[in-house]
Amino acid sequence: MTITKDRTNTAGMQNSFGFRDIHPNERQHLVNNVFSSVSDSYDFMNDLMSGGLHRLWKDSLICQLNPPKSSSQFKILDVAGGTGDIAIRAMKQGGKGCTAIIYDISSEMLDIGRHRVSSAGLSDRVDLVEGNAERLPFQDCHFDAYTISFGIRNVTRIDHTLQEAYRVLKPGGHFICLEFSKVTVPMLDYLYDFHSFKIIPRLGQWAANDWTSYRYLVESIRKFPTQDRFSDLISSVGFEQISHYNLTGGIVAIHSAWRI
Amino acid sequence: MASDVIRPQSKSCCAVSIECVGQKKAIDRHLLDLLVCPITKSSLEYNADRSELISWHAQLAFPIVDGIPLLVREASRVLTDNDI
Repeated sequence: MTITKDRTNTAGMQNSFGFRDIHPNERQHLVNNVFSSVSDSYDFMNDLMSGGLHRLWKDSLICQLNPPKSSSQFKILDVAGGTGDIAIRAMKQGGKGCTAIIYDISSEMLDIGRHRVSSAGLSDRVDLVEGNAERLPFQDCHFDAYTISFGIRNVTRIDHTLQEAYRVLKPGGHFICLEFSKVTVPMLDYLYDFHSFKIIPRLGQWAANDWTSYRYLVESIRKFPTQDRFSDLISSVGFEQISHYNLTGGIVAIHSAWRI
Repeated sequence: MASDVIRPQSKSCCAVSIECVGQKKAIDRHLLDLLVCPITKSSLEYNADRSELISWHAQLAFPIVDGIPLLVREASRVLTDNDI
């Protein structure tokens, strides 16, 4: 088994599963297993690992999205949004004209999302569809916004995923991505490395009895392209007005881009 | 060719009821109209009896489970002569 710890500098994560070098055909299956395995404890673990910060990061994404409060139509596609975190927040923030489709490859995560959407009384505004982010089953030029939160580093081909995002967005549509990124604050990177590699897998083992899945999560974070490299990838499929801003010293970054 | 056959669908109602085990879930007609085949991007035909979305171009049928369309190749069924 080969181990590569460098950040991915190509258009895809297809040759890596965390730090392990793998064949691209293996990857989706391995990633699916991770999310089936962690779905029950996913939110609890997110709170535990991030000290609750993931809630603030998701709120920041909703600020960027800024769904209209009016009753005018605003259609959101939330990719890798299985548990409904982003879609439910967006519906609460936006007016009655806001609708969302939660799209995810994991049926276990979608199952959680379905119950949450129903409990929030949002079933008439939120639909759920299961599928792969690299092959969207939606018509061209349909959505006003495409969101993907902590999802894109788990896809096999980032470039295919971005091309599909571009295709389904209307001209004038907004692409917003929240993802773990490269820490830019001196010293914080050392602390963060310690937390990631020494503490998170242990928390995963202790709280969810699952060392391997959480080890994958931290390794995949470290493999994901840097802020600038990811901006280049977004630009390469045709998006314009690309910007990003770092949250919590670059532990996560929000990338924003528009289909003009 | 199967893909050339025109198959009229009822458009008279905006929601289509699907009976699932233990629950009833309405699939919104607007969602069905928006969905396309993930592989060929061609239109899908809804088969209410089997709770499936059929892609004649890809020759695949995708299941709808508990009201959620499963539009992944791995979940699909290859169409046979009996489907035509």
